[in-house]
Amino acid sequence: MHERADRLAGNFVTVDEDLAREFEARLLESSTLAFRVAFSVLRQREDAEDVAQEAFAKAYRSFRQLRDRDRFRAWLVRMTWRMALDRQRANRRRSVREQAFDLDREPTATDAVLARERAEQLWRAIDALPEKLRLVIVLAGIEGHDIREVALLLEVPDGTVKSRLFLARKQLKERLSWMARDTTR
Amino acid sequence: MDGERYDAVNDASLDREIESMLSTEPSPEFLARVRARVAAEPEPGRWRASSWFAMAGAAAAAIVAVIAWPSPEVTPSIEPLRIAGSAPATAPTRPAPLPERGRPTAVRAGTTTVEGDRRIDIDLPEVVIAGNEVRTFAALVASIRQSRFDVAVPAAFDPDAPLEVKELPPVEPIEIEPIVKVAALQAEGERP
Repeated sequence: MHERADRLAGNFVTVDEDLAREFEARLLESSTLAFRVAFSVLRQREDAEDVAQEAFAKAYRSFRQLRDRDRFRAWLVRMTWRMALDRQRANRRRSVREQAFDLDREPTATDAVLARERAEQLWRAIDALPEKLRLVIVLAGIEGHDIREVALLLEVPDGTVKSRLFLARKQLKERLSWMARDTTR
Repeated sequence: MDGERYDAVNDASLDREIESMLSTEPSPEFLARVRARVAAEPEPGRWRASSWFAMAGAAAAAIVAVIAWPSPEVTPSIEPLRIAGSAPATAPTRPAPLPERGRPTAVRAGTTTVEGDRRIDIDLPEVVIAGNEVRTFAALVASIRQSRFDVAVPAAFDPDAPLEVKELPPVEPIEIEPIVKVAALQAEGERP
């Protein structure tokens, strides 16, 4: 009787250990992905880390249903993206103030200023994209994901990713060219 | 100049630019913080299992309660009417002896509730019905049972039939005399 109970307890421990080990593996391979997805929305390291951390905590709660690697990563991307958008909305007032402060700052070096301006323009153009196109272009830009990998992360067909990527690039180029013309006028 | 630069931008350079913008690394403490945060969470397996057991237990208890709870079934004491054509093969029943004309009759409107094997008689207040109404109703029941009364539903209303409007009688104007007495009392300061 005792032997059987011990065996059962041993099985529980093994299952828990397996879960913990699997989660650690997912955490190691997906932490940068989650951080960068959050960073693409928030553009602040601390906020992005907070959001990614909370997304991992939620993933841990539902880890029994997310043991499959592809499913876990897709779920993590969606959850992080949504949480980052929520955080962005909550921080909107503060971030507007900080952006205004950044733009008023005195330039220190011409190249750095130009690079910063260009990055700001590109971020603004990305932010103006429809959400589906925005997520595709960000995921394609993270860790050099190819179309197949982005399709797996979004759980959509490859063709959908291709068409969204095409539209996103087209709209980005148009917006960037408008912005550049506006600044040169 | 910038406009020309962005006009000339191609997909590859745009992708490179986005990739470089997104190549930010998390801080070295990030992983440790995530591990600490996750350690504060309840174990997923145990948490799930206990919640499932709790939900299953609650569902089972609810099902048992629904099955075991006696459903109240109310049967009216008044015998249902039999329409002509569906009458039983037995001899037609005579109507109950009629009460004296015009005298009100007290009818006990009692119902019998059947709960499982128990029978509970509920006494409701007496309803007073005029004798002639009782007689009329009993006669109607008897004539229906003996197929002497046509209970067929009248023909449906024909919406296309022309509407008959009868001429209304003329109404003469009404003259109302002023209330002199009240006005006089009010003038004297007294309440009417």
